[in-house]
Amino acid sequence: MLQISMPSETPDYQIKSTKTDVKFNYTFHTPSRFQKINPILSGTHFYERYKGLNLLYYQEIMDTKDFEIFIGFIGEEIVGVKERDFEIYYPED
Amino acid sequence: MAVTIVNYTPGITFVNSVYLDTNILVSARDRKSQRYNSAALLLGDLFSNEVDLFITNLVIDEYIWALLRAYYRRDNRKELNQHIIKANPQVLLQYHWRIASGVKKILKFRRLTLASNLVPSKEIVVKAVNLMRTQLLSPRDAFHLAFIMKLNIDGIVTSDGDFDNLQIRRKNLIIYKY
Repeated sequence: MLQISMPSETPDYQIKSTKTDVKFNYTFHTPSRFQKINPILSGTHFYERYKGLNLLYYQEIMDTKDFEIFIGFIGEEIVGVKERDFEIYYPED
Repeated sequence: MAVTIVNYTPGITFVNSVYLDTNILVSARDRKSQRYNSAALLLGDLFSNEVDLFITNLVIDEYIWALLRAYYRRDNRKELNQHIIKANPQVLLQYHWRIASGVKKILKFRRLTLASNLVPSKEIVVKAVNLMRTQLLSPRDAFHLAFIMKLNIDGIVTSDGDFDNLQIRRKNLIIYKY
């Protein structure tokens, strides 16, 4: 008959506290033109969104609140609006 | 006194008050638009120059229609028309949230005036109908110009040529083309 005995002074589970240093080794790549701007502007998506615009220039000369509204508005859609979409009179099919 | 056309280049200065045609609002928002860069830059310059901006309900109506058509074409590969909407009004709901979000952002522009109720409607109607005859404008463009003239707005930003041939004697108007 198998008997298992555990010393009463020994807990069922013993968790030893250990200190571990976790080191992350990675680098964020941020397009240089956006490095001074809010971190939300970093990354490929935002780079594409504001491609061709000198946001640093506008950030420097624009009121902070204006700049926030400006970057929140421009380039948010990718739909390819065409000139005819502005016509208010519908050609019949 | 005359109408002056100014081709936009980044960094130019503006008059104190400008009426925004719908196309700049749509093009600045749509980065697939051919005019995205110039529209966005122009909007940035208007903001940084702290120009007083004016629109009317008509502009918002046109903004909604332009994006609604573009959304529908992108998703369905065909043009949206009145027949489709009448047959299936649910189409409007499909894109409502996104359109409402864009409109809300326009209304957050500082120094933006939604000018529709600043002039008695009767005066606008009379003026617009008169401008149709004297300036050979379409009804919608005549209404835009009626607001501009009644509110004594100094300029308009637009990408189309509908206002290029205006013959206005009693007012200076700068047309910023982009």
